[in-house]
Amino acid sequence: MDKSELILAICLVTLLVLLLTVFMLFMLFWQRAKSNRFINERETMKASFNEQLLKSQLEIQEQSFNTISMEIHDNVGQTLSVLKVQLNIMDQQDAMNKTLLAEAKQNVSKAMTDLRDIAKSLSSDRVQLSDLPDMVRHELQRINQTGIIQVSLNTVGDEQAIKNENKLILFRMIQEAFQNIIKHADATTVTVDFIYDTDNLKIEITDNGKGFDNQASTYKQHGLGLQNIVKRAAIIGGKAIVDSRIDIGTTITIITPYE
Amino acid sequence: MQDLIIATIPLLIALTISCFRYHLLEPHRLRLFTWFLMATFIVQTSGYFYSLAFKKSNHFIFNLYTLIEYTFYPYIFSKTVKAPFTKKLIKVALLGFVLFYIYQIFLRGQFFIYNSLTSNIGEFLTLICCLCYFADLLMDDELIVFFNTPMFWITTGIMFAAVGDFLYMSFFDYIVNNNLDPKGHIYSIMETALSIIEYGFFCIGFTCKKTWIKAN
Repeated sequence: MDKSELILAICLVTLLVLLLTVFMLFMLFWQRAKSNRFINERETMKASFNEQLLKSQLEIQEQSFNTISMEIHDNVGQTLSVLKVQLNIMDQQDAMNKTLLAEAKQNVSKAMTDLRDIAKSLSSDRVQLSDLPDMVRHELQRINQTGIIQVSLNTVGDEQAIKNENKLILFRMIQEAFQNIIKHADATTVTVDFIYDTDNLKIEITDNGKGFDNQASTYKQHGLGLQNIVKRAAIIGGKAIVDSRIDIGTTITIITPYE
Repeated sequence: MQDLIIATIPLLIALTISCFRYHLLEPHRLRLFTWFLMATFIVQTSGYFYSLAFKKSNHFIFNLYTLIEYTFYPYIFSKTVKAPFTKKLIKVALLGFVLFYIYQIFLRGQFFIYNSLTSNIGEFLTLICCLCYFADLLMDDELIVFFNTPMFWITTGIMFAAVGDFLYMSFFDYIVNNNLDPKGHIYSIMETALSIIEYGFFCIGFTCKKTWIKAN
């Protein structure tokens, strides 16, 4: 290369490097915009998750209050009324009626047990301390007591821990599914299966109710409970599949990762 | 004189803007740029007028400025980048540069002859710092809007100046010895263009909206 050409080469290479710098900056802008979009989406999802979590908490609380109100009215209230009657009878009698006293004692014990159960279900630690199948089992007992539907629970595989926040949302989804069955399905039996796979927990809720047409507009328009279940499953990184057949029944499958 | 004026106008504009927005510059270390630009302006003009008045070489002024310029940039970057390893790396490189400068300028007795090698090493260090900062921005897990980030624009300006200068400065001694740019016209054009780009970006950086501070 001629010496005089060197300066020209320097200028050209400098220009080229400057152009490369412009390109690099453009790429940086583009990548950052992509990252920002991702961060925004993540934040939105986080906010949505928190919103759903709060909503689930409130709904569970409301459900608990309803249950407790019913329990107090139907069980403790009734037991205490009977006890009051028994005490009045004893008060009017001159001699001590040992049988009546024993019955009264039994009623006091029953009222105390019922109250203990209510107190237990009121505790805020209940959800955090107990595992999901236990929570569901407790709920099933309550439903079984009504005598309208027979519900059973099965667990397959080794039980694995689920994050407390996800547990709460899952529990609310299961509650929602039960409410739907009680209100609309006309079912007599319901089975709940907890299947612990390697990476996911699969919850299958199957009823033998009247079912509905999956494609029908009624499901899209009025199945708010079912839509809530699907939406919540997506929020915890899982999915919910609703499979229903007319006169055969409905199966709701919730699949969620452990972490 | 004309060259000096043209090359100094963007610097003066950037300096004026930084003075006006001095109290709005956040984080506080950005305010150091006002002082740095002031020092740059003093060096540029004093260098010019020194050689004009005393008819002597002004190289020692620019040798001193090399130390100011290439310790200032890495210092700012060491405070700006978030990754602890990069911070440490920049600090070590800065120390290495200072030691190299002392050896080249004082121990080898080149104080009165412009030392392009030291300047080149400083430019290279600055370039690395700029790339580290950009990598930091790219990896950051927080929402960053470049239009509201003064340091991004300032770094872009510094990078353009360093990249544009680097090759010419690498061949500086060869060009001077072989008289390839006899009147320094090419260097002058290059420096003027780069000065406009660099200080133009500085101006954008200084006038960035304040919203990014709230975002932080």
